[in-house]
Amino acid sequence: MIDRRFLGWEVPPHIVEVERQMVRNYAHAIGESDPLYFDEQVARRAGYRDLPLPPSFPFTLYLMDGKPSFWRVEQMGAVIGTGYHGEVEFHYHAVICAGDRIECRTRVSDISDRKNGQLTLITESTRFVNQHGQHVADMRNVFVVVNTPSP
Amino acid sequence: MSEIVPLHLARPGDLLTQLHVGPVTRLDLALFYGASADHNPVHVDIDYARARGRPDVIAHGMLSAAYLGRMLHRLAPPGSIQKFSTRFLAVTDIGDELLCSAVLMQTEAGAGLAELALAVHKRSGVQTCSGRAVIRLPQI
Repeated sequence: MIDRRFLGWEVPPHIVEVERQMVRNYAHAIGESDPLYFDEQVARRAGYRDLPLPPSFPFTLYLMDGKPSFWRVEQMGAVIGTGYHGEVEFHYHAVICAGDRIECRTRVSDISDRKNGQLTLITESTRFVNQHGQHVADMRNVFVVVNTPSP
Repeated sequence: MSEIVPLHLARPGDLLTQLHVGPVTRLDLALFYGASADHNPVHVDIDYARARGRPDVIAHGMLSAAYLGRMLHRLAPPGSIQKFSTRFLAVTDIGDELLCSAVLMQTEAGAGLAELALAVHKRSGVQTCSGRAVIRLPQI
């Protein structure tokens, strides 16, 4: 069971230094071929400071804290392998590029049951701030914990 | 199959773009495992998956979200997407072919924004993801 005392938990923030090769590797892994994500000259000509991040990349920034990917939900009582990713939502306020230093600040914003307690939904809200103190993005992420086997 | 309508001509309900991906391979999952830092062994370790009652490894939900992002990139370059969300509805298996699609829901011409409904379907018709995006309309 998920310990309700984690509602409102402010996870210690971490900082990710976004490197060009991280952007290229991610773009390659998702089959993206636009040179905008590979060649900084192309990115600069298109008006970006450096290689921009693909839209789903902030989830990776959130994970890059040097710890096992699911330590947060495990700490709350979830058993990995009995849960799944439910939902993710991004709000973008400014472009994040390679060379940026992004602080990721995550808070457990909701813990609620579904289906008469068979499922527990853990919602985390992450705020991303760059090296200039600019609030560049927000993410809401829902992890679903299965408490009892489904019939 | 619906016809693709360019964003500046589209009306609510029109298909704006599609992206075919796959068949999803083990290599795809291994590359994404490394590149995304999403380190759940169920995506790359068949022994781990079997020990948990699965016949094989399964794709990351975020890989499908990333494919939706790739499709969105064709409509809206970085900086012109305001909001992007994905709900995961069904598991993607090795060998699945995926079809991502974006349909116009509404435009707010005054604000210069368009709201899109996103989906990922398997070839079998099973829907694996639903989503939403709000993008800035290009200035023409």
